[in-house]
Amino acid sequence: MEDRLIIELYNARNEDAIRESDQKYGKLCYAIAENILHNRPDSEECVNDTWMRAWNVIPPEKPFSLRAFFSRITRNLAFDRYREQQSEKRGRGELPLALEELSECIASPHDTEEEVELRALGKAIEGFLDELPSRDRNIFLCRYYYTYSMGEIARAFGMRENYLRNLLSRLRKKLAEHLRKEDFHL
Amino acid sequence: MKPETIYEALTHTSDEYLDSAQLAMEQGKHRMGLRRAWLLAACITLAVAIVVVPIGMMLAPEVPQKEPPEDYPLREFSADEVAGIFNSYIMDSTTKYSTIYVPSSDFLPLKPLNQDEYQLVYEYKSAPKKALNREEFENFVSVCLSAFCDAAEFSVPSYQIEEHQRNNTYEVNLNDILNGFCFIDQTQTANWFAFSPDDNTTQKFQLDGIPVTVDQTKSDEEIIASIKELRKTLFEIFDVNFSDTKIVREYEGFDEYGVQFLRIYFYNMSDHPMNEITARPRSNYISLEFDNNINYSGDIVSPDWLRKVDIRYCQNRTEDNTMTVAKVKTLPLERAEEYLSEGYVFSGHVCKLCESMQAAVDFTDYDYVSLSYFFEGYTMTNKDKPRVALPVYVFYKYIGKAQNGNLTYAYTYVPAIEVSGMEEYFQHRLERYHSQTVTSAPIVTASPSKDDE
Repeated sequence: MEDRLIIELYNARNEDAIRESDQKYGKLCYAIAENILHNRPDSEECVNDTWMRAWNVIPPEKPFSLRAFFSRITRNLAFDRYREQQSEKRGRGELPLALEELSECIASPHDTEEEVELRALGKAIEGFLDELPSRDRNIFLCRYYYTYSMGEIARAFGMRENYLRNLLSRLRKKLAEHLRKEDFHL
Repeated sequence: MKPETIYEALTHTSDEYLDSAQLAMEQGKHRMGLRRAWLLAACITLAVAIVVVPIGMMLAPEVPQKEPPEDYPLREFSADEVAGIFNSYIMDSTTKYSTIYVPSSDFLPLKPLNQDEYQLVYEYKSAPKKALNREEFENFVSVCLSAFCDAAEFSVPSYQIEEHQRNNTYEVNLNDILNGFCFIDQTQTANWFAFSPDDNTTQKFQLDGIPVTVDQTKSDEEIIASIKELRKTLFEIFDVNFSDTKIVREYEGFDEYGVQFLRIYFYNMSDHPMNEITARPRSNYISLEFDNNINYSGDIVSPDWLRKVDIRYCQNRTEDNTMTVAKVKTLPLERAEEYLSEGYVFSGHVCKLCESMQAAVDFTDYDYVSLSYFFEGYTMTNKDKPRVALPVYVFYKYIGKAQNGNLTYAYTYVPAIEVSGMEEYFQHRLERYHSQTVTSAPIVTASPSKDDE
């Protein structure tokens, strides 16, 4: 079903909206949660919570892209759950590896006294993504937004894992340089 | 700052970028699945064909059974054979590399690096021929011409069908002039419909009220998204349905009009195994072929919305069954990089004079690599023999800005397959090279700064 029709179901408070959302985007949302949590029951719960959250915000929200909208909600929910699990030392998945890689972009992985404006940082990162060729941008987001594994990304983009690792390393260095130029204290 | 902060900040990435990344991932998985599915289907077809023969033979027990082969036959190549494939072209009068111009690296024709154990090598001939069929052609003309004229708001002209024995074609002779050039013919291999609207400075040509134009400054994905309605109209006109679209573009380094040409093909990738590797599909297709050159005075060229277009529909009349496929052991990328650093690359002929005219480029620090196919050229000496489509690594290195601001990339080829006798071949070539004398001074240029990009 087209996105606009699914949104119309939400607006009409028709519960078929949930079924259609799950049918079209359930697999994607599950994959996103599973990449982070590596735990089936928790991942399934995140997906269900995604539909609940969407039901509560549409309307008045009018998502431009349901794919991006749902993936954002699932990712945030899964990340929150991951942080809870960290404090309880549970859970595996690709996220710890992805975060370890991203730590290369910052000089010191400790809290600073200044509060970083997430939105401003997001805008700066968007500027970095704007400058990348589309293939590199897609690969960067597959790893650090969608948290796909190296193997999955290498296979999908038709490259060796070693080549992918080198490419991501070059991209992280570029990001670090870009954030420094944007005066983000790393 | 914590790495989690960067991770969280990515939440604010635009929907467009997020969708693009996810779609690229899904397409990559689908492409690998399609390739595996096609290989599996081909293997099953081969196995079924081989099994059916023995079952038939069991009914005549005096005929012995055959052993079924394991998927594709294994093939080997020597360096001399590979050199012969490249030498079918006179390439740019250069030796070590060729050049390509692009407005940004986004437009380099990069393909995924398949590192499976084997690569596929295709050998093919031109499509087989079939006798002309007037009734078939009359049906084709009646379907295409009236539907196209309706959509273009032309009156449908009367016409005659003429046979041209010299060319072995049927052609349509229109009695009225349309606002453009219309060509409909039947050859021994295909039925063709082509229409080029007259250049018009005030109005873009339309089909069903939809302008037939694209903005060349957009990415391929953006262009494909922008022509959804036009695509639907073309499918209705020609009564077809194709699931795939590809765009092929070429840029130059001198003029300021952007693309030299931009071609959009609507086709089914799965209709022919070589569709994935060729620019023009080998199965039925509809194309929008935009030309952005000044060939004649009065030609309209544009830096953005393209106007000069050839609208074509190709309907094959024969099955393209001349192709054979073999598998060859893959040369891993690391080994290809070693060959690259040794200068064991295939490009054009070796000649000290030509090489002295070409600035040296160090490819060891290349910028991009692609696994593409190199197609043996059609010559008078090989016209009756199968030609080879060979998998190659194409290494790209940025070498500076062109006159019009486009980026210039040098590119060179290393076979993506194990090839015997590489060292001996290039040693022999080096000896031949050193035995030549050069009368012109070599041209040396400095490497461009990365800041140029």
